[in-house]
Amino acid sequence: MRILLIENDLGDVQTISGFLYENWEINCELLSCSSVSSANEILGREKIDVILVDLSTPSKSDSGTLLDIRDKFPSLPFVALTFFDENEFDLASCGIDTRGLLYKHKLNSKMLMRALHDAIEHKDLITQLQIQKIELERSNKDLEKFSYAVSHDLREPLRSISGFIQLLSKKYHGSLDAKADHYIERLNAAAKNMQEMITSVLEYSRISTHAEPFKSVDCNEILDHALGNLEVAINETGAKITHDPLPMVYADFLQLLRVFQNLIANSIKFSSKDKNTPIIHIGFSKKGEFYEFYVKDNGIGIDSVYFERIFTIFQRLHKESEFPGYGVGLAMCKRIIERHGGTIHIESAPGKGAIFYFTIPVNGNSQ
Amino acid sequence: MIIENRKSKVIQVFMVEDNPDDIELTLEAFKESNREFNVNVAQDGIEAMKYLRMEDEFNNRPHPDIILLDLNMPRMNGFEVLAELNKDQKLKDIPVAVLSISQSETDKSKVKALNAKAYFVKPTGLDGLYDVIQKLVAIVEG
Repeated sequence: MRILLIENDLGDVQTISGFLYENWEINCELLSCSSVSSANEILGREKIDVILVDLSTPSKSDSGTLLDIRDKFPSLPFVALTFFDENEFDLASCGIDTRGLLYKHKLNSKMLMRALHDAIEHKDLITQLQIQKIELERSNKDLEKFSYAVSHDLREPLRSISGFIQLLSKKYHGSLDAKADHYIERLNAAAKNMQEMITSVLEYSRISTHAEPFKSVDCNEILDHALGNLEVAINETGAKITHDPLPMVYADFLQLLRVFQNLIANSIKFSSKDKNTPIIHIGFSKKGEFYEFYVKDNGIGIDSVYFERIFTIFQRLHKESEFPGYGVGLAMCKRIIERHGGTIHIESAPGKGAIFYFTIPVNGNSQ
Repeated sequence: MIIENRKSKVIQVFMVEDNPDDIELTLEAFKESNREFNVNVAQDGIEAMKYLRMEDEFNNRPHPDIILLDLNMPRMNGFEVLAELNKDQKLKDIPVAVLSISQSETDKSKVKALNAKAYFVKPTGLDGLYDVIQKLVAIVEG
């Protein structure tokens, strides 16, 4: 362990080296200097594991240099020494993370050694986590690109399959036996199904591969668009839809439109069973750093055991004949809301309707 | 007085497409249509340019009323074909309709800038192809 001490009081340098010698470890080495700028020079030529800095040493003009050191050596841990309970010079305020603040008048050898080791270990952990985070982000991106490419390329042979099945059905329907006709019909339906699923995977992966940057958008305008797009379903079911005046948010307009549209379409679908009139309300409240929106309906509701599952792609709770769909809408909503830095969840019980809640940061998300 | 019977006129189509399934399905759709077409096919841009310039074995092939052009092809792609056609005084007035799998807006605007008359995303199923063929007729007779 190579320690660089930044300390302008010679007496303190001696005290600290005394502490170090008391608990001397093999491979432990102390270098010292009296100013931050000379520390910067030393760091340029020596390999240092940890910096021990006396907070009374750096002057205000030194803060820039300390920041330089942090930027140049981001994995270098700092331990700070102070005389006072109140710091004259606050390292944290200039963006330097001091792991462990030691008071000189209470300092002993053991404390010092432990603080130095802790700081190094902590920094190692952080570095490891950062490496893992970068790796995870990269593999997520790869996976997205992969599913986009796969679904895109799968469409080509599928187009041929659908085309030839249709040709077969058109030219030979009735001239083969009834069983053959039935098989062709099933093939046709399966090909159509697959087509829809591939299109869904494509759209799902496009949420991040073909995303627009966030802008300030008016949720009232988004809702108007969504209701316009759902006009046919609203008229057919006689759905009664009300809403609060909604706020402005920082978002991808088309994606947020999709969220509102999918949630309202869902509500209409699951509230119109047996000629029931869907009654839907869209509202919001401010909760700390987030706007929490909700879409409330009087539909069939769902059991809490399915609350997680409904947000997974291709997961459906009902037979196609009962409620048509591919199980993509809510998965899409979840992914869009997560991209915006928010969360989505449902409150519901069978027969009691459902409320879908989702949050969007008030001040936008840095993406 | 000679009255041209437009209905009876055979429409000469030149299709540039490398996917054999797409060729076969599109030819079938042309056959099923209520108009009469004569379709010649080239499987990449280089072969297409040779045909259009009536070089070598393509001497005396019919002059197309419309070109149906794929974008993604080996050797010479659809964009390059469009650029070549624009440069050629004898060929630049033949209407071109692009038929591609690409849904990209960039591709659509690039094709438009290269003076193509229409852009169709390759449809799934025969009905979609019939629609495309109807639109081709409209371009030729429009």
